[in-house]
Amino acid sequence: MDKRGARFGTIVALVAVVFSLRSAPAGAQAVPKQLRIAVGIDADTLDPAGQTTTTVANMVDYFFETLVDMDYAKNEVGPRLATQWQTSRDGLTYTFQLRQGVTFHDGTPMTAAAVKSTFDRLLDPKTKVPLRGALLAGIKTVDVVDDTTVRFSMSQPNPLLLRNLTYTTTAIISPAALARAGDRFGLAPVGAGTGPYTFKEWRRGESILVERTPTYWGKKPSFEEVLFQVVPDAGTRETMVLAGNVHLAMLPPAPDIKNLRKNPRVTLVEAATDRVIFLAMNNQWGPFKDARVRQAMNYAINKKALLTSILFDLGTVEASACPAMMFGHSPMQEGGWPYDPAKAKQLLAEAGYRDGFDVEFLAPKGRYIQDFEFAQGAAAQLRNVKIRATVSTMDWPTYVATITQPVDRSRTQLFILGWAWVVLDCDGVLFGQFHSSQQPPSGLASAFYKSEKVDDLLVKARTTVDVAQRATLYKDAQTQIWNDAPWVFLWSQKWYVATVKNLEGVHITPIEKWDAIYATWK
Amino acid sequence: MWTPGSTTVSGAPPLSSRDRFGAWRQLRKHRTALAGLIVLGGFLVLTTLAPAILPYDPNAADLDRVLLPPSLAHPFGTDHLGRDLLTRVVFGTRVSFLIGILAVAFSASIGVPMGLVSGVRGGVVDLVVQRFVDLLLAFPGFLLALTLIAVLGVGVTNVVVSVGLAAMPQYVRLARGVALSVKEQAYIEAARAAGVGEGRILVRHVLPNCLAPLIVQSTLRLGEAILVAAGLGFLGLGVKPPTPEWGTMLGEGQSYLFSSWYIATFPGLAIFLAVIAANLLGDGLRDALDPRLKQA
Repeated sequence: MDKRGARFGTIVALVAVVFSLRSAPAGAQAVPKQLRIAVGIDADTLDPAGQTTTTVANMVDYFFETLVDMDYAKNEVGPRLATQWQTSRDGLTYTFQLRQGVTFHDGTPMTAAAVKSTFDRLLDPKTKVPLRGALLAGIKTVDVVDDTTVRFSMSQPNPLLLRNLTYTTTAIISPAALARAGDRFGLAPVGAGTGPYTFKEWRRGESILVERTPTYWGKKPSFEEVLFQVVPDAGTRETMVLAGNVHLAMLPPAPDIKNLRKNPRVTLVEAATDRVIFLAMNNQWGPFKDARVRQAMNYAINKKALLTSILFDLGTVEASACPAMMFGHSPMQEGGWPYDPAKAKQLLAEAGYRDGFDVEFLAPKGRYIQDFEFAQGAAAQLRNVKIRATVSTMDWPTYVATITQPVDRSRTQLFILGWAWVVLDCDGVLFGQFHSSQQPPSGLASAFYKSEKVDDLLVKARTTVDVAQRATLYKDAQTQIWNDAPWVFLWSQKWYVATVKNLEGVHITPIEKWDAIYATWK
Repeated sequence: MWTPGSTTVSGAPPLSSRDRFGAWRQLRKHRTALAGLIVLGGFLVLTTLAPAILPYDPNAADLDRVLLPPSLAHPFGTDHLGRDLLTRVVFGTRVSFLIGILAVAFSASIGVPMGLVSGVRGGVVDLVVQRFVDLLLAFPGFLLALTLIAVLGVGVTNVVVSVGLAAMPQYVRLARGVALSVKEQAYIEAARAAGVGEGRILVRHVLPNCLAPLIVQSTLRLGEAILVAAGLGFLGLGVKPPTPEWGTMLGEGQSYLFSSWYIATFPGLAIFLAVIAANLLGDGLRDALDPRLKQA
């Protein structure tokens, strides 16, 4: 063979190899041994206690389990490692009956002692638990009553405790596995969980591999292995699921949503979540000190138009500061504040801003769905009522640092923020965003809203055990907040994944997780 | 007449009016260069006439008309905020060319004097200047611009400064080469002997020698400056929105590539045309103005 022939031969061989590599996963119809999921970020730690990011917690949920489980369809707490529980009348004692015969992946039994040791570790200030204050407030001690019974003693009632115990942070860990792993526990929690899948391997920056637990106490999943592949670029994740290289991809690019909904080769699974998106106004800055100006801002922005044109309907206009699926939600006005530029102009004139004013409008880029894009759309609508907003952006760490300056040093005027909480209760959004004690630097209530009435209602609501009473307290708080309009109330975001057509039974939870452990292959 | 010892740059004498005429004739024969000139001229005419002939405001959002594909009303389509893309591309010409021209002027105005002094003076001055230039040349131009913009922050002025500084070393080298090649010439010696000051020699006798290569260099650099500025804009480090700028528009269109191809395509084409036109013109000018190549 001459030189050119040899080169041609090599090329043909290479092309053949490339094509064979590409077609194998795409054409396969049989149930794959391994389910591949493309995620946008790598884990920081696989230690349940150290969780801060929903997507990471989502992966940790494959191999760790909590005492109780959240049933989102019924919006109530159900059993998992605990089968039954009783709450004392005063709300100061909780007793849990544990499921019998459950073993950790390392073979040791899941007993009351393991539960106690898990919670002792969570309450120990030496353990890094970013959500400790938020999830474990009020727990004094956890005691072993017998091998399958544990008792939680509270220093004060916490109406949210059961719901908090559904979150990944409080998952039960094998004391033996924890001791064996030592400092490397967060990197390789080998054998430490009880979940339907067992942790196998974490290649940092690349992938996390789990395999089906042969001795699992509950229903067994369909796939032998699940591989989470770290693919930071949304467009690449989309291409991978379209090519069949992965079976599920989280958050493909929003602009392609319309096409994906129509594409016969993939299923777009989308659902509403509790993440509210709003324009925070600095209530202590110039024109925004006046409630009429803040109300005018709410009238001036056409939420529905922004959602449809710029967000491709990946959201629902909110009728209250506390989103619809949370306990305590009380709709204030269906469809949100109406779009009424004439009314906005009138209110501005009453407040002495007939000729409008200039405002600096900060927007993140790529943090929330189409954030920078809809900021420009909102700015255009504000210009129609002579509010001249200039949109600028900054990288996320700088952004957070900017909006969390204390009020006397804050230079914010108007900015986009999204807020979600891992437990579906109004406390999660209202206390954190509107209670005056939560203003920066101590918290993230960066609109600097202050109302004694609201402060009072929110504190009462988080220490009252009676369900009906709490709902009333939240209704009153939401009414006051809605009328004071410290935010421009916008929408709650959807969360979405694209899957290959063969994969069925994938759901989205309201706390921005995918639920695919029991997905099946058709 | 040029120095046999000159290596990189020709030491042509100052252009006489006859030479200039000859250069234009030469250029006119150069078809591709002429095409480049026409395209660049076309861009300039368009931007001047733009406000008069285009019915849309480049920054006005219209949420009822988002992501429309090209049509008679919107020949380039509309973007994600319903802005007319043709209008934005045309207005973007202003920003992109402004940045390109200013950046080139900026780097020439700093680089040329540095190079001339370095070449004529020699010795320690030359050593220091050239090592500094070596340092800058160690970084690829774009990386240098990227680093500078990260330090200075975004905005038109900072983009001009960053892109200009990144292109400066080329000018230093160019001017130094010319200075080295002519400083031993008889007419310089004569000037010195006649008691002409060093500054005057630099400006009156050495600098004019640079003009031809400088024009060529600047035209070629214009294309590169536009490209680097667009690159910065693409990464979100260029001018602030909603100002239309090609690179920024390309970046905005990136996430719509699968669904609305036209958002990224037209600014991309504009960048392509402007850069290739500047390069073709630069090549033609080099052929026309460089006597060595003329003879060859």
